[in-house]
Amino acid sequence: MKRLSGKALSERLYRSFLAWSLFIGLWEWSIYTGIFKSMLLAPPTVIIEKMLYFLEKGYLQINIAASLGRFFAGFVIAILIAIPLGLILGLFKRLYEWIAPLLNFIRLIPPPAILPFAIILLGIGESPAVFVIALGSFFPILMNTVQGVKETETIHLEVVKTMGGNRVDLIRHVIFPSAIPTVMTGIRIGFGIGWLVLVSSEVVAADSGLGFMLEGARNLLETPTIFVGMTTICILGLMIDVFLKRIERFFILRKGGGYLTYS
Amino acid sequence: MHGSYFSEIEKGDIISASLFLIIIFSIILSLVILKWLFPKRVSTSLLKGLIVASGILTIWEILSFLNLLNSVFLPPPSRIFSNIVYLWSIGFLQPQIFSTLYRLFYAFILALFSALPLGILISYFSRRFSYIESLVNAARVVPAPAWLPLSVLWFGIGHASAIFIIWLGCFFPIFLNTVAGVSKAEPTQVETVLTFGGNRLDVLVEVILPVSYQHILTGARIGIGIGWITLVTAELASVDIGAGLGWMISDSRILLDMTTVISGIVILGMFGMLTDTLLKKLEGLVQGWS
Repeated sequence: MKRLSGKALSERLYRSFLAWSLFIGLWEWSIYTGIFKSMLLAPPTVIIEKMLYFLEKGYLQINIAASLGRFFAGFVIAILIAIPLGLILGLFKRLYEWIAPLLNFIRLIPPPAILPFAIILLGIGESPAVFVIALGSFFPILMNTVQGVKETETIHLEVVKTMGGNRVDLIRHVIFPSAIPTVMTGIRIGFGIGWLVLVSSEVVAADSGLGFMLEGARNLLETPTIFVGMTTICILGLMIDVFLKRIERFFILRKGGGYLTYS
Repeated sequence: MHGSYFSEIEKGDIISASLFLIIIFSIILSLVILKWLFPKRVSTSLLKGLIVASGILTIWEILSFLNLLNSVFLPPPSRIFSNIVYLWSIGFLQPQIFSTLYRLFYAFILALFSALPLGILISYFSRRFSYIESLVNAARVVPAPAWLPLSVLWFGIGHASAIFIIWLGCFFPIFLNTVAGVSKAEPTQVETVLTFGGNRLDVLVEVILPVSYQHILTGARIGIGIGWITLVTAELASVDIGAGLGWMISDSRILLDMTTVISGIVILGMFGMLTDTLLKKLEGLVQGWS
C-alpha cells in the first residue's frame, strides 16, 4: 500500500487516457461507419450533447437528487443500526452463535425480492425503496463489524484489564479502534450492494431517480437518454467508491497492516 | 359466499395453526434427541438456528392467532407453509423454481467460463492490464440492473436479455478476484518452472491455479450473490415474462396475495442459502488441499 510517486501517477494517467480515447474513438467510429445502428448504441458526442441539454433543463439534477437522497437515507440508516448491533453481537459471542444462522438466512434473500412485500407493508412512495436499500447495505456492515470486534487482539484486551480498565474503556480504547478498518471495508461493500439495490428498485418501481429515467427512456426508445442515465450512474458510483476507498485506506494505514479485499 | 369464505379460512387456521406448531416442535425435539444420541453428526449451529427460528415463528403464530397482527398484510407462518405445500401440489411452484434456477446457472456458468480465461489471460499481460484498468473500474461501478433497459433494447424482451444482465452481475466479481488471485503467483516460482523446461501451460497448472483457487472461489460466491439480486430484478421487471419466482412475487403483489409473496421470498432465501453453502463448502474443500 505505497503512495504513487509523481512519475508513476502521470504514467498511469497517460495510460488510462490512451485507453479511454481509443475506446471512445472506436465507439464513435463504429456508429458512423454503420457497424452498429445508432438506435442500439448512441454515439458519445450525442450522449454528451444530450447530457448538457438535460443539465441545462435541470432534468438530470432532479433525478440525481432523488436517487442520492433515497440512497443516502437507506445507507445512513443501515450504518446507524448495523454498527451498534455488530458491536453488541461481537461482544456477546453466545448471543451471536444463536442468532447467526437466522441472520445468514435473511442475508441471502435478494433484497429486491422484499420490495413487493415492502410496498404492501409501507405503501407506495419513498419508504419501500429506502427500506430495501437499507436492508441491502445492512448485512455487509453488520458482518464486518462482528468480524472486526472478534478479531481484537486478546493481549490488548488483557493489558487494559490489567491496568484496571472497565468495559467502557475496553470498547472505547481497544475494541472500537481495532475494528474500524474492518468496519470500513464492510461499509464499502455495503455501499456496493446498496447502490445495486437502489438502481434495481428504481428500475422496477419508482417515479423519480436515475433508474426511473433509464426505464422511462427505454419505453420511449430514447437510446441517448439511456446512455446519459448510465453514464451518470457510473460517474456518481466512481466518485463515492473512490471516496470510500480513500477513507478505508486511511484507517488501514493508521492501524498499520491489514489488507484491502475486492468485492 | 364471500362472508363464508373468510370464516372458512379462520376455521381452517385453528386446525393448521396447532398442527403447524406440533410439526415444528416435533422436528426440534427429534433433532435435540438426535444431537443427544449422536453429538458429532448434528451440527450445533443448525440446531441453534432452528430453535431461534421456531421460537420466532411460534410467537408470530400466536400473535396472529390472537388477531394482534393483520393477517392480510402479515399472514401467519402456518398459512405460508400450507400455501407452499398447496402451490407445490398443484404443480405451480415447480416451473417457477426451475426457470429461476435455470436462468441463474445458465448465466453463472457463462460468467465462469468467460471471466476465468479472461482474468488469467489479462494477468499474463499484466503490464497491459494497467491500460484498461480504469475502463474496467468504470464498467464495474455501473450496477447490472442499470443495464436492463439497454439489454432489453439489444436483445428484446425474453430469455437472452435476462441472461445478459445476470451474466454481467456475476462477471465482475469473478473476473476481479481471478486477476487478484493470479497476481499472488510469485515470479520466482514461475521462473523456476520455466527454467526447468516447462511451458506456459505448465506454469498455469503448477503455479497459478493452485495459488489462485481460493480467490476464484470467493469471487464465484460473491458473483452468485450479485447474480441472485440481478436475477430477481430482471424477473420483477418482467424481462422474461411468465415464469420465475420473482415474477410470481410481483404478480401476487398486484393481487395483494401476501401469502404467496412471502412464500416466494422464503423459497428464494432457501435457494440463496443453498448456493452460498455449496460454494462455501467447496472453498473449505479446496483449502484442505493446499
